[in-house]
Amino acid sequence: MTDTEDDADARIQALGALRLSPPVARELGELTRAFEDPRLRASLDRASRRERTVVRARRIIAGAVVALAGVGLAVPAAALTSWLARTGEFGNPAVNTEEDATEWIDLRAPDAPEVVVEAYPAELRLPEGVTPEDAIASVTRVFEKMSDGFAQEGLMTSTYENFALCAWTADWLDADADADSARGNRAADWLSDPANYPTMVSQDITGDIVASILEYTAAGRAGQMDSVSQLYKVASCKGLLEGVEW
Amino acid sequence: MTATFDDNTEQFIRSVASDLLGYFARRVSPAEDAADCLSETLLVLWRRRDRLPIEHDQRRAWSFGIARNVLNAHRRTAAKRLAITERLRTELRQHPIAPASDDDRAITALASLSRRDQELICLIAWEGFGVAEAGAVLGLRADAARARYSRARRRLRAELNERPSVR
Repeated sequence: MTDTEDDADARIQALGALRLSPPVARELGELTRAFEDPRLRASLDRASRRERTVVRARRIIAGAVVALAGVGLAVPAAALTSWLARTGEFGNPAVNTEEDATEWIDLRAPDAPEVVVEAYPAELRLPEGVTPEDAIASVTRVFEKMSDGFAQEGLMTSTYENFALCAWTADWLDADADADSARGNRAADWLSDPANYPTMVSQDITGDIVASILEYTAAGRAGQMDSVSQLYKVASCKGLLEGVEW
Repeated sequence: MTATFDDNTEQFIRSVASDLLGYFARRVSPAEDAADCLSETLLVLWRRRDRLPIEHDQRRAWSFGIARNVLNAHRRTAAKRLAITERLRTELRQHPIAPASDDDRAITALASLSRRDQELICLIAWEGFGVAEAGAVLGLRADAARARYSRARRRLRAELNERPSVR
């Protein structure tokens, strides 16, 4: 026998069938009515606010990756959802799901912090004293703040590149303050070569962003360090390096 | 705030509470965590009651949008138990409302869809939403939801028709 369309719908529907027993219905009614008391709601609201503060403080640590929950075959319907950050969907779903190469990540999934760590581009070169862990902590903070819940992996990669761009810009400013021209030149070399931030380049459809990075860098090489300071501002470096709100 | 407004809120929340409990019971494990998710949702619904849409279907979709956020937060940070839910938790443990299924092929077929497609299908099949309302819960435009639903349903049927049923 093959499944008809109706049978397929019925089988999916059956997976979600509910059986509300009288004791559950009674307790549900009592709980629902309890919430009608404003004093109870106020006290729970206060407790909830305290809880959120503590949880946020814990989650700021980039390495604190929650264990994955897998999907088995004969699992109960109640435990069906995969809970995984990688959605298996690529590109802009509103346009064409197969058009773009980067995957949509569900930032609210338990393993989302792990995906942010995985997106770190291994070839990314950072100035002396700045570590990949610094980059990961910064980029994790950025994605924790995103409210819509989904982001493409490409955005994570370009945010890492943006972090590196900021780190090199800051290094150049420090080198200038210390009159360390060799270190300043290393930073200028990195910024002058778009091959160091390929994802940012590929996402810059009009080319305006890369052109402006190169302009600021060229001006800095010509001795106009105000341009380098300006680059630090326009590239949101306060947010990425200092944790200041964007 | 008028008494009528609160009466109306009470009535709506009472009417949607069992659907919300079912929503969580189908999606969380252990199932008794549904009690805590429900309380969190009720708290948010009361807190934001001034934003409740007027039309019933929109109200319901809006409430499930909140429930979805609560579910995501629950999966991220694990259960936050409240003393007030203890009795409902106990009953849910003793009388599960979302029984386990042995229809492995249907489970596997559903699990083969992307997470958002799964959720779209389930909101329609389990929670009884129309396609546009289910899309609204997931933050999808109505036309995108329709296209996605139709494609997901095709895939689901193909998966289920791959081999003869063994049920």
